[in-house]
Amino acid sequence: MRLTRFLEKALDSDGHFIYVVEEMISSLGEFEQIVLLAILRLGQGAYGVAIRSEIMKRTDRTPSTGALYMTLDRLEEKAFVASRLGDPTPQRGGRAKRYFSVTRAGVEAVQRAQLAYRSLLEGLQLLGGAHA
Amino acid sequence: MPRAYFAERLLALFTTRERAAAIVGDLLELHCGPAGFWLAVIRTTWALSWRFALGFLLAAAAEFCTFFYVSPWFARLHGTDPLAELSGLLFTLFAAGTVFSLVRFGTSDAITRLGAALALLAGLDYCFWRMPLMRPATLAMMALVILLSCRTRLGRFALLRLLGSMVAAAAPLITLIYWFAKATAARCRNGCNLDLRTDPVIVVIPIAFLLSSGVLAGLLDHYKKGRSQVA
Repeated sequence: MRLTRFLEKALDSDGHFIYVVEEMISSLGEFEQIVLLAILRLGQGAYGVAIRSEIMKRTDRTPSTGALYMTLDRLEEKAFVASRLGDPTPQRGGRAKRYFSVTRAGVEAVQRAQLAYRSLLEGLQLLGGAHA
Repeated sequence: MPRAYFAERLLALFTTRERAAAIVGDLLELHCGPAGFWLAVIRTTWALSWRFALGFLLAAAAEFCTFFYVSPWFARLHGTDPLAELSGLLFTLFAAGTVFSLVRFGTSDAITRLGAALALLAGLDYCFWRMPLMRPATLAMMALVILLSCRTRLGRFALLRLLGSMVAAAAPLITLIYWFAKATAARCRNGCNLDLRTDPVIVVIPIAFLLSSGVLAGLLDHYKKGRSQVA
């Protein structure tokens, strides 16, 4: 039954079987959500250093640069973020900043993940009061 | 700044030149001292490269094991015919490609799923080709898998990249194994007790598998860059 529903859902979408299955399987991990939310908060100025600082400021975690770039690459592969190169600056030895922005698919993925969290939190009193 | 130049060249081995430059720019902004800078460069290089290195080594091991252990075991059991021999070679290469893709790109990647399906079908044909209806069934399933892949741009791109990498990886493997067989046969034309375990010519075997897996891994890894443009 589950398999039938899964196939119906996959085949309905313009026959894009592989793409749809890939999209359904690629859910967001916790760090991926944090990175996406940090990019959304930063808006136009979201590049590596700024994203890392925002995560440190908001979550008290210090992500390693390697993990951050790997996650950004993975999110770009999943088409959840897009990147563009800025202008080269002398402070960076003439190197351009790589700016990130969250795509529509990325926003939808965050929304899906957050809805799942809210649904699981519903009725629980973890933060002093019941969550609506 | 020479340290930034060398760091950029190092990172560019595992990502595009523009991305490497942007990463180095970020690291220059983050770390003032040379020690902190190089530590961050090494950690970033490791994060970008470990999946490739592990995938390459496991693909070489998978290629070696399927070629020398799994395939001959079934060949002894059921015998082979020319088409089964081809299926055996495809099984070896698809298995290696699947292992690399699994480590490098994960289970949800189109190449991983396509490679696993084709490896399974080629393996079934090679191992059980004598069973009634096995060959037509596996060939029909292969055609169906290829047909389904061709329905989307991403699927067609993955299929072409996988098949192209298989052909390129097969070339050094077949050439070196053929040369090895010819070289050993020429030395023992009239029959001799050639102990391959101690003979220097045996070094060709790991070279063949490492070279073949290297070509496979390099081409499949290149797919990652193109995929983001297609998707």
